[in-house]
Amino acid sequence: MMTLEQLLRQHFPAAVFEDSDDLRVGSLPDWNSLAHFNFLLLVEETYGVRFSVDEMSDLKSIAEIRARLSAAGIAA
Amino acid sequence: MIFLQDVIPAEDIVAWQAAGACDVERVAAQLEPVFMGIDHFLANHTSTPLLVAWGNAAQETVIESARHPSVWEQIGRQWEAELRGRQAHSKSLYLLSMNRAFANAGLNYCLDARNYYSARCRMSQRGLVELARQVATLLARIANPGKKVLALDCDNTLWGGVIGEDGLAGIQLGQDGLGAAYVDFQRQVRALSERGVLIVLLSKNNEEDVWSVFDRHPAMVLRREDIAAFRINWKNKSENLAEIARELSLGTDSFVLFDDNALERESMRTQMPDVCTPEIPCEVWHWPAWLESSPLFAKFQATEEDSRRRQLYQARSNFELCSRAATSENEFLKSIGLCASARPVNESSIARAVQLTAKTNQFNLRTIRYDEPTLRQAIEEESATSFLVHLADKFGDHGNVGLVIAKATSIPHIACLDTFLLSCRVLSRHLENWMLQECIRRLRAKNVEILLAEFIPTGRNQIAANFLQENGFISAAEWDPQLQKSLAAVARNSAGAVFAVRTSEMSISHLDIFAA
Repeated sequence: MMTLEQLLRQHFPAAVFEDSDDLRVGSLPDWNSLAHFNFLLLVEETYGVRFSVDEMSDLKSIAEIRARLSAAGIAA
Repeated sequence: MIFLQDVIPAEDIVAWQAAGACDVERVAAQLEPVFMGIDHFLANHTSTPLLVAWGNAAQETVIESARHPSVWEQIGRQWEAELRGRQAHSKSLYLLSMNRAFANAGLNYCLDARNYYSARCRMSQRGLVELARQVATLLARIANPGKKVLALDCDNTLWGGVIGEDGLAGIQLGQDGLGAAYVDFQRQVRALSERGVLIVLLSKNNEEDVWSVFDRHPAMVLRREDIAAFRINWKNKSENLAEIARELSLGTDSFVLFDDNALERESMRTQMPDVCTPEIPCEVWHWPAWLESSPLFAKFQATEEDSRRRQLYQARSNFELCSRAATSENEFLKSIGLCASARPVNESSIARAVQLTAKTNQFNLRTIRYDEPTLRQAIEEESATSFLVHLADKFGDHGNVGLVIAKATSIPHIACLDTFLLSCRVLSRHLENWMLQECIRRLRAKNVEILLAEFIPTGRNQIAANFLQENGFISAAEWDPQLQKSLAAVARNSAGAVFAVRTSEMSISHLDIFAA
C-alpha cells in the first residue's frame, strides 16, 4: 500500500520536500483548503477509512492524519 | 413494469437516431396498445389504484443529449406527457418512473452529505470521479471527431463458434441464450451503420464460409450491403486493416477494432497503435450494451450525410475501380459528369458545415474545428465569404463535401482563407480546384486583390501540402518587396506556412472537367 508521503507526492506532483512529517495545510504552494479536502477524500479511498465532519476540519497535518490512521490500526 | 424498449421496435429507434428526431405520430401509434389497456382499466375501476411503473434500459452516452434531446429522451417525454394527461381525469392513476428510482440508488453513491457539511461539496469521491469522467468524454468529443469505422472479427464475435468447423447449423446465433446476445450485438452494429459508421470485416477465415452465414443464416441481422469493405483471408489483420484504410481513403486512426481474441487485439495495438483497440467485456451478453454506451462513435447531432454514408463510400469504391480501368485521368473525369455547385451555409446546412470542420482531417489547409455558435459568428461576419460545396456525378449524389470560409483582413482588398476543406470521399476529382476558382470569383466580386492562405501541417493533411503552390500561390519567402510590405502586418500571427496570390493572376488547372 502507498505510504501517506507517497500519496502526498502523487497529489502535489510539483511540490518539492524531503520529509513530510512536519507538513500541513499551507506548507506547499498548492496545498490550499480545496486541495486539502480532495487529499482527505483520497486518503479515505486509499486506506478504506471514513472521517467524521469534525475530523474533516481537524485533520490539518500529515502527523495528525497519520495518528488518526494509526488509531484505526493502519500504518501509513 | 414496462420497459420502453419492449414497446418501441428497435428498427424505429435506429431510423430516428439516424435522423436525429422521432416521428411523434409513430411513437404515439406504438404506445397506443399500452394506453388502450390503461384506459380500459381506468374506465372500469374508478377507485382501485392503478400503478404504472416504467423504465428505460437505453445506455446512451452523455454525447447524444449534450446538444439536443436524444431520441430516448424525446420518447420518454412523450410517454410521460400522455400518462400525466390521464392523471388529470383519474384520481386512482399513480406513476412510478423507475429510472428516477434507479437514479436515486446511484445518488446514494455519488452524493455525500458529510462532504456538504464539511466543505460545501455535495458530491462523494465517486460522484466527483463520475463528473470528471463525463466532462472528459464531452471535452474529448468537442476536441476530436468520433471514430468512423468499426472493424469486426467474425467467428465468436458476430456469432458463437467457428463457421469453418461448426458449420452453418452449429454456430450460435438466434433466439435462445447466447445466440440472442449475438443477434442483439449485430443489431447495435446495424444501428451504428445506419448512423453513418462504416462497418468492415477483418476475419481469418475462408471467404465463402463467412458469406454463407451472411446469405443463408436466418438469424443474421447484418447484410452484405452493410459491409463497406472486407478482408477475409489468413493474412495479418493489421496489414488487412491498412489496405482497407487505403481503399476507403481514411486514416487508420479512424478505425476501431472489435475482436474477441485478446491475442489479435494485442497484436493490433503493437503493430498499429493508431487504431483504437479497446478491451471488451469477457461475456458476450455485455457486448450490446457496451457498444451502445461506448462514446467512440457518438455524435452530438445526426446529419443527412451520416445516414447515407455507406452508400457514399460504396460510390467511392466504384469510382476507384473505374478510374483504375481508365487510360487517361482527364478523359475519365470528363466522362463521369462532374457537377459541382456552391451552396449557402444556412439553418438547414450549418450542422453539416460544423461536422465537416470537425471530421475532415486530410484535405484541410488549417484544420480549424468549429462549434455551431462560433461557425455561425464566423459566417455572419459581413465581410466573410463562405459556401458549402455540393458534388454529384454518375457515381451518385455525394452531398455537401467541401467548405470554404474567407475573411477580410485589417487591410483593404486583402482577404485570408480561414477554412478550406474537402471530404476525403471525393478526392482525386480536382474538386479543390473548382472550390478555389469559386472562392476567387466571389472575392473578386468584393474587390479583393490579394488572397492570403496558410497551410498548417497536422501530420494527416499532407495531401493538401502542395495545393497552394500548384495553383499559383507564392510562399512568404518569395514575395516581392511590395507584397512583403503590404502583408507584413497580417501574416505575422500565422501558425503554419503562409502563401499569397493576386486574385487577378490566378491560373487554376483541370476546371474543364466540370459541367458548366
